[in-house]
Amino acid sequence: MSGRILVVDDEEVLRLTLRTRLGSAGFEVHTAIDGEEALALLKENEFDIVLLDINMPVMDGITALGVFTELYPRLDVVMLTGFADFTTAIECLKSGAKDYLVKPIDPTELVTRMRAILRARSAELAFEKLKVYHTSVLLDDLLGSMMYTGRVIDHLLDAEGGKKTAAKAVLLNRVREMIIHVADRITRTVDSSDLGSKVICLYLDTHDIGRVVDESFERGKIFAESNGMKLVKTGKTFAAKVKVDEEKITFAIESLVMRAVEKSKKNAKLSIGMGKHPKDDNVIQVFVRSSASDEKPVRLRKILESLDGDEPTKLKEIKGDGLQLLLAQRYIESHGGGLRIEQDSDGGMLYEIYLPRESKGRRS
Amino acid sequence: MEHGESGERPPLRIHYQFDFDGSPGKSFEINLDSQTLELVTGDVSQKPEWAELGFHQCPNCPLSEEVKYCPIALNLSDLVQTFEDRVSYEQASITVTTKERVYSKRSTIQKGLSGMLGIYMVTSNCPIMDQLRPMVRFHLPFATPFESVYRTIAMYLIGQFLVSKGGEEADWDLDGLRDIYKDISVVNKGISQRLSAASRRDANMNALVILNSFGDSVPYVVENGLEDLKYIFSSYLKDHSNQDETENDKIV
Repeated sequence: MSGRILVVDDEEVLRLTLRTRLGSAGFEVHTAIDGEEALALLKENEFDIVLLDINMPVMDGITALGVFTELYPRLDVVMLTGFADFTTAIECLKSGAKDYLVKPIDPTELVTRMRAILRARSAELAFEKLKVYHTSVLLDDLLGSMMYTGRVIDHLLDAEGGKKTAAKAVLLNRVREMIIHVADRITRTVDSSDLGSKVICLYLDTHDIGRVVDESFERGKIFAESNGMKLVKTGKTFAAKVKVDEEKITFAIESLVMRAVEKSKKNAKLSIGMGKHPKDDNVIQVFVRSSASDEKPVRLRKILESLDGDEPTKLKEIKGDGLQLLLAQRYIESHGGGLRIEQDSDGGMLYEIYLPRESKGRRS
Repeated sequence: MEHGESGERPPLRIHYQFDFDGSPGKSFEINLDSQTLELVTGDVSQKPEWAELGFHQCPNCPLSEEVKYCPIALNLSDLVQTFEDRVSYEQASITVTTKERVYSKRSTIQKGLSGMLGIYMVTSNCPIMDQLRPMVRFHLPFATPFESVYRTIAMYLIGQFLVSKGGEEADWDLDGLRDIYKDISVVNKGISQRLSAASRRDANMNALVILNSFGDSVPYVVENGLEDLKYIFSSYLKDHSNQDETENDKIV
């Protein structure tokens, strides 16, 4: 089992000894004289473990630990301490250090501990990958399919009008309730796994957001037309490279288009467009507008409360469409952007997505 | 040669001078018996609790309970007290004076201190550390790990040559040296616990850690068949190999 280890100690003899010992045990070892030099190396290279001395000039171990755990949360930091620093070492564990080794360090113990950390690390990574995969399946496959089924049921309930029997309506409503219930459970599971944002942040790449908007417009147009409405593009979309997960952002834009279509009055004018943020050139603004909406202000408030409060239990109150908005908002926020929903004074609705050109996504 | 001379010889004197930036310097005079290389000490005025034999006694300590104080700890007590409040990486101008020469270096306290600790530890009559005592005769301040490993192995091989001359079987495989360092590592751990109890800051501890690191290198170099040292013998080995070839030619 190999691993990349960075040894940070001001004492040359110690750096040399640790390098020799760990190197002969099969690790790839680099050394730094203090926290600052270590930071420079971490910027350029990936390491699995940092062996970090507590007492060093320039940037001491405790300060360095704070910086490393903040900037590189996946890094395992092992503190090197003398007996007198024992209390400090415990404090370091509380501050995010993985382990500590007491000087003088027994060479066998050193290698054993490093191997144990690497083993745990690869197991953690494999487990997390698996969890991310399963959460992805929950979010993309199950939840996506359920939202679609929910919309079909809504359509059936509305479209059949007088033809629907009371028994059919009860059954359809029952199925609808069940879908909402299961969707709620999925969201709770994703929330409690603390992986929602990580799933959303996967596969970030630079895409032309203009093209994403155009494609969303084409699909939204079909949906609008099937509902007897017309969706038009406002202004000219332009090429703007934004670091996003294309699939997720497409979903977010389409969610807003569908919501606009579903909630708009029959005579409403629907439009989609994009441009630079009026106050910030580095922010791209994508908007979907409906000139007349059936959206009830009270209902909208509940949705927004749910978005702010992030409490899945409220989803039952706002039914399925709120869940879709919640997901859209999360996808956008995971790319460092924001979602704004506003009711116009003339009875229309405005859905706005803000995306920074350089994503501030929480990718770890 | 110094031992060819007759009469009582004065002790070997090693003087360490630490000059700090902005605070008074510290001076240490170490005297070693010229015959036994044992530390020549006056009475230790204050015998601290952490120097008692039972205080974190090394698990491999062969001394009996009748011995009240750990000989190393007792001899270190004054030195440790002097540096108890010092930070390991604090810079100092360090001058080491012996009869033959003067060594001077701008370095960290821990580095200068580790040299002194090394002297005290092998000259205090600790039965385990005593095995390295011959090295003190050629004390090398500010030594690198490579230099220390060379000196250690050279010392051991000379010792084994003398053992062989005495009619006993010599340990040319250096197995005994690895065992010595295994024991020394245990002693270092024990002493580090004492120093930890005696110090408020890390200069003393880290000086010992440096010494221990030197020790750690020795078994590693031995395990690798002295490959790390081989290149400095390249001309010697080449000559030796040529000589063998000539001998072989004669046989043919």
